[in-house]
Amino acid sequence: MADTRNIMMTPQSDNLNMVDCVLMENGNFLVGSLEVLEAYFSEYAGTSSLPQIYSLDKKGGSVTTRGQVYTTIFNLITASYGGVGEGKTLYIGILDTTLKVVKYGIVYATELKAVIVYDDESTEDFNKDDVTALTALIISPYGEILGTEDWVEV
Amino acid sequence: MSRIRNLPIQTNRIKDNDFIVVDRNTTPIRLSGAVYKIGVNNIIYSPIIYFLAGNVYATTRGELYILSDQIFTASGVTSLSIKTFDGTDSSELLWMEKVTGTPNKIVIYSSLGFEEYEEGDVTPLAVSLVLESPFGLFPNTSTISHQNKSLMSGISLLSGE
Repeated sequence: MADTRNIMMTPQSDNLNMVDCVLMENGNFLVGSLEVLEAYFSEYAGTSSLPQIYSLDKKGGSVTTRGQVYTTIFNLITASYGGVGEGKTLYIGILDTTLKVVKYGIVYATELKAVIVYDDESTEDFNKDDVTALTALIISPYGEILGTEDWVEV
Repeated sequence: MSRIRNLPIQTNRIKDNDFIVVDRNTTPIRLSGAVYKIGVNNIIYSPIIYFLAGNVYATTRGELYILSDQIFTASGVTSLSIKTFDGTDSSELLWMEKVTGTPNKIVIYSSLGFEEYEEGDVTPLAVSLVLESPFGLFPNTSTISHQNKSLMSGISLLSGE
C-alpha cells in the first residue's frame, strides 16, 4: 500500500514527452526513452501496407458502371463483416479515371445501395443494378481488407 | 532488480486506468495507461515524411518526381495512396501513379483533378513539398530520408488528451 500511495502522490501529466524514460527489467535494468522506442518501432513495426485495388469480387481491375461500384463495396463489406448494414463500414477511395479525380471516405452498404461519406463530408450513393457508366478504381488505401485474402487477381 | 523480477503479479496488458511512472528530465511523472498507449500508438502508426535527402524539400516539379520515383522504386509498385506535406499542413489523401514514357512522369490525383510532374522539369513548385505516407514506412523505403511525423518539431501527435 505504501508503494501505491507514493505513485498516487506523483504529479500527473496528460501527454507523453519524447524525453520520458521508462524503467524496464529483463534480467537487467533497462531504461528506454520514447526516442529509443521510436527507433525500435521504425525498424520493426509500423510498416504501412501497400494499397489494394478491388473490382467486383477480385483484386485489381476496374469497374465500369455505378452498379459495379455498389457490387464491389457490397462484396468487400460482406467479406469483412459477414454482412452489410450501417454500422459495417470500410475506408476506401474511388478514383474516377474519366474525370481523373480521387475521393476517399467511409462507406457502408445495404441490400440496395452503398453510401459513402467522403473526407470532405459530402456523400454519394451507388445503387444496385445502376448501369450508368463510371470507370473507376476501388482503392483500399491501407492494404488488403480482412476477409479478402483468398480473392484472386484479375 | 530482484524487487521487480520478484513482483508476484506480471501483466502483458496495460489498462487505461493503470499508472506508469516515467522519468522526465529527472522528475518523476505519472501517466495513465490510456495516455501512454495513445502516445505509443501515435508513434507506431504515425505518418512518415519522406525527404529528398536529409530534410530537403522538393522545390521544383522535377524534384518531386525524383522523390516519388525513389519511393516507387524502393517499394516495387507504381501507384500509392499518399499525401503531400508543406512543412505545416498535409494535403488530403491523394492517389499517385508512375507513368513510364518520354519523359517519365508521375500523376497525382486529388478530389479536384490531377497534376503531372515530369522528370527533369525545373519549374518551381508554388510551395516546397515532401511526401507523406498514410501511416508507417512503405515497405523497403527505410533507406530514403524520412522522419516520423509525430516526432517532427512543432507537430506533436503525442498528446493524450
